[in-house]
Amino acid sequence: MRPKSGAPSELERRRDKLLGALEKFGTSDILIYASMLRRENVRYFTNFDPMEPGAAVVFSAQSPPLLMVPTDEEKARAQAESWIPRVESYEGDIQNLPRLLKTFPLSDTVAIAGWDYFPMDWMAELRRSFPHKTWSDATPAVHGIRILKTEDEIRKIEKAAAIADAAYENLLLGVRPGLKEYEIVAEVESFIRKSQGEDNFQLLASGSGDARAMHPPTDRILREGDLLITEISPQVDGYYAQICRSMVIGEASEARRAAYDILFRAQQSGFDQVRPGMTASALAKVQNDVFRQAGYGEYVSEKYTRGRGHGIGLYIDEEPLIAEGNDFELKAGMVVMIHPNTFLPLSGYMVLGDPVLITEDGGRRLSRSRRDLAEIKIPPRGSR
Amino acid sequence: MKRGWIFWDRDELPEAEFDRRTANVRSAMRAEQLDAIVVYGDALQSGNLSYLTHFFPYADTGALILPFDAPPRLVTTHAYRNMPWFNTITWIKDIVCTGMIGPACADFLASIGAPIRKIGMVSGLSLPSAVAEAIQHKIGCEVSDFSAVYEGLRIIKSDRELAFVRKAADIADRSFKDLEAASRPEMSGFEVAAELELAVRRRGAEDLYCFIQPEGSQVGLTRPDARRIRGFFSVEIAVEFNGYWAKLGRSIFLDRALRAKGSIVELYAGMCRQFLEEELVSRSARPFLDRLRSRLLGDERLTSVRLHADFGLEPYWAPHLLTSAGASQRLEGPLSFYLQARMDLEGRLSLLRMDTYMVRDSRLFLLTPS
Repeated sequence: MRPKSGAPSELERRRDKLLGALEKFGTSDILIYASMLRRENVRYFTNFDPMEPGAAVVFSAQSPPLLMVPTDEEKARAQAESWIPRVESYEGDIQNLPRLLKTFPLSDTVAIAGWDYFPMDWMAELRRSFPHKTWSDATPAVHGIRILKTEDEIRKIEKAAAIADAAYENLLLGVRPGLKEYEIVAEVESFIRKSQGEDNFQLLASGSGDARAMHPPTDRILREGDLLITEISPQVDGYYAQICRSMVIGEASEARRAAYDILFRAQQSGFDQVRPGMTASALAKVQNDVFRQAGYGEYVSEKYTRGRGHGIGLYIDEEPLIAEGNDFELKAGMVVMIHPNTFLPLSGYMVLGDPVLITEDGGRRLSRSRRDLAEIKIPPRGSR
Repeated sequence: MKRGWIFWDRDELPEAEFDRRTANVRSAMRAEQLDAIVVYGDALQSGNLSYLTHFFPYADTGALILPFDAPPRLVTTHAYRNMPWFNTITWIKDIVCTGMIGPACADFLASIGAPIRKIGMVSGLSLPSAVAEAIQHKIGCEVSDFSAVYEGLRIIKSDRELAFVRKAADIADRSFKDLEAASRPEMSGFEVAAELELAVRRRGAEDLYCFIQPEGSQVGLTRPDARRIRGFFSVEIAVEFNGYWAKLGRSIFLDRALRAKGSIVELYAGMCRQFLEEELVSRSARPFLDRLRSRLLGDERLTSVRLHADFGLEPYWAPHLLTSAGASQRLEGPLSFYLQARMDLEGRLSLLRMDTYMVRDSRLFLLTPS
């Protein structure tokens, strides 16, 4: 059996908190859906991580919860992993869903979490079978609860961050001219599994610095003088952490050092100034202002960068997006990435990012690995 | 989310191949009187989308809008800054980056000018209702599910597609041998996964799934974890190369005393192969499986025999061939599929044998011989 990520009392507390938050959505019932890509909401409330698409848990103030899964095999896994006493298979046929739901006293309005990816055939079946019910999007209610992390959740993110740190240190030891980009990823993925990371997400780019973004690896071969940028994002017991790092194969040029210095100061500005009550927009601005003051204000636009960070937790990229114009209020207990990754004409696209816990006293970085522009020493020709 | 090697070699997979696929799909659209189709995909279920586009939304979502008589558009939630990379992997020229797939599809359909009376949606489980509703709201047309017809077209493979399936199978097979050589008592599930990640990805795979079932586990195959494996485990590997998948399942005996028990699943695997060669090529899926079951299921320890359709572009969730569009498909080829046999011994050893096969020119080929 997979280790439990929380005692039933904690998971029940989450359920109760969610039911309390449903009042403003005009209902007491919610169906939380998991697609294959977006499973995190179901996992958060049940401790069950689906292996097949199409799981859903139903919570109601009037009834015990119901977890619906597509197959009997999935049912056996769900029963082993989750705290939900009633797990039912709909046997791969969504026409069986109404039969299961009709055993449940659903109110006239039923909330759905996962609205953006709730499938067309499920919605059609529910509307056909329950023509008098209203189905409404309550995904924000789930996000509003998940975004504030407990101490147990923070420990898991810290553990994931420690694996990211170790994977990066290991990468620095092994990276060298002649490696293909996808061979680098193979080494990192293997290291993370050995370190008990259950999953990872990694992007990278290498070359002279003309990339505008990181991407999945190619078969490009690393050469002396290359800039190598990457993000490493291990997952531990459901929770992701991420670090973004930049390396030079050989010695860094003055221009790259100058560009990296701006990037470093921008991130440090974010670390130093993040606090509860601040908006995501303000956190982005304190980073962007460093670029502006250095004369590179035009490079903080969407053309050259995505944002100055984002939330992180059971999914790799969660609310809020740290970008100017986003008035989302930051609170103690949230974990956000601070990464002022940017293309600058001095250097090309460079990255630097770390997860930060927002506390009453400010930000606390959850990763510990070096944040400088790493220079990969190249062995003398005769010794390679 | 994908983090392996994604590429497009125009010599191996020329644009003409996509022209051919698009023409076939449009012929099917004509039969269904569809003015356009929308093919949706995300990072984990991108097979339908990449079949026509060779585009893989590695961490997000995307959709192809293919009008019956106008050039297609690809929309994706990936950022515009990724466009140079997109242009290395897809032949589609018209790509729009957007935060909202549904409205972006609707806007494009509205801009075509020709009347849109009926649209087909492709991707069954993964197509969000919100996307379909945004289109219906703006265009006001009839929407139908085109998935079964579309997936039926995908079952039959070109020689180029079969070459990628062969390559994926070869990576799976060789990586399994590496795992077998590295396996030792008391290794953890994570260590099994680590061996496979290294072996599979350094051979240029695009993606990998690995599920294991240790001795004594009663919940079937699961994701690897920290538990130590003692005498035995079964492992299922799915490997993707350039968009095409192959699967392999084996049981590994770490305890020599248990090894003799493994011979029974090998015996069944051999029977399955022989039966395939004798019976499969001229039959459709249902009578083949019925006969296979009647021959093998006399042994109650054999808990399941499954024949999975391989659309070539999806790792898991490939539907059972009997319930998919392939149920009435004569298995003459060219196509590929997975055959899985499982049996429980003494309530603690769940034996597994799963292989990828190819049928071409009415001949059967086992692609995972290890």
